[in-house]
Amino acid sequence: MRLAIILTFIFESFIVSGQTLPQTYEFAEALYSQKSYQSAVEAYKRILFFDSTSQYSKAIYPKIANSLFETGKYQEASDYYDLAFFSEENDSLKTYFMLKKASSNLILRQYDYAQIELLNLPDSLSENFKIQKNFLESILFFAKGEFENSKDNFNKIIPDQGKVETIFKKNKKIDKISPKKAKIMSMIIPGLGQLYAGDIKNGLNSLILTGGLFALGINSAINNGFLDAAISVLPWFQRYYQGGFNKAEIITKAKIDKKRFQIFNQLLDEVNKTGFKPI
Amino acid sequence: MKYIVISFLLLSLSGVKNSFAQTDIYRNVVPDGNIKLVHNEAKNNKNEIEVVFSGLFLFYKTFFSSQDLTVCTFTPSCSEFGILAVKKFGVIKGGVMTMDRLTRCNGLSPSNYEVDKKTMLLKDEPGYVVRVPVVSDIK
Repeated sequence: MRLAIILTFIFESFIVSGQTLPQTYEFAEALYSQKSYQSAVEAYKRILFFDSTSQYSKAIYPKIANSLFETGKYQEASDYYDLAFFSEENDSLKTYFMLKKASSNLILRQYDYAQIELLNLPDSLSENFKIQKNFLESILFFAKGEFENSKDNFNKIIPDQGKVETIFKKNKKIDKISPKKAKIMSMIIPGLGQLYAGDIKNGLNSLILTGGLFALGINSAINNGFLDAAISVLPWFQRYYQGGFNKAEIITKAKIDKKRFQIFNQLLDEVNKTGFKPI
Repeated sequence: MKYIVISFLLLSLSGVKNSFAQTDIYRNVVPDGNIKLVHNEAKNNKNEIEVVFSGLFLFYKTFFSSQDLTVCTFTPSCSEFGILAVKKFGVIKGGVMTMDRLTRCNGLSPSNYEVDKKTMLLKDEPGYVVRVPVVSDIK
């Protein structure tokens, strides 16, 4: 019986052959066209591993990068767009890869890397690439807080410039909110900075907690002496007083971020209305 | 009724169209300003005691810890350690472990613990036994 099994295995090794590179490539292409991106990436990577002459690399890098981009793996996608860029000679495709790499970096909030990619783009671009560049720059400048540059770029995409102007006017009002001011307000009266940022719950919480500890300290100083009060209550008061004004600053910064996020989404809604499709 | 259903379907269709807008992947390029902390330690309670202790933990986290500076030297923090210990070892052993932890929360012996690279705090979970001697690089 054992001999029969061994002979079967030996016989099978002659008749069964592994998937060849062209077959694997065909399989990967089929997966890619069916939008099974995760499986496509695995198949493409298998080709890269066995492709000793690098004959498939040029065709595969962009496919892997696109698949990774579609599956939300932006860091890896960015690396593969880089490989695709260096293995490509066609200027138009090179520009496409740079734009996609900039997109990946933007989504990862690596603003400086995204800016480097956009600055490296050639001066003469086709009309479609120009709009794509404007879109990415408008996002980039908004994220970096360069709102005038962002507005200029959004104006190039959104035809209703009055709408853009209105949204950026609302954005300008956010500049008036100051985290430093909130911090100082909470230093003067605990909780005031939080109330200034619109966080009533945390404002009252800080006021009651610090006020209570302050009252306890005064009571202890009157009944037991200043030294006793300083030893027993002051460390607690210091913790919650300092924590309160630091939190006021953090809460105000978060409030600003929240408002900017809303404005940014309004702008993206306006872009969507134009029917614009990012690459 | 029929018109209401039709108009509802049409409205939901327009909603679906918006939810798959092309620029959606760029919506989180800007931070959303959400700083609300989620305390998973207080979830999945199996009995009444765990519910009570989770309630106490959430009360402390909401009204006291939220106003505090980052003063705990450990990750998970002492309050998180407390609720995790009670859930894992019961009230008596978990309570004793929490008291022991509170006495250790002073930052005087960092060389006894691993350092969590993300938070740069000392790692100390309830029931975690360090099998290899740890010497911290952080001085």
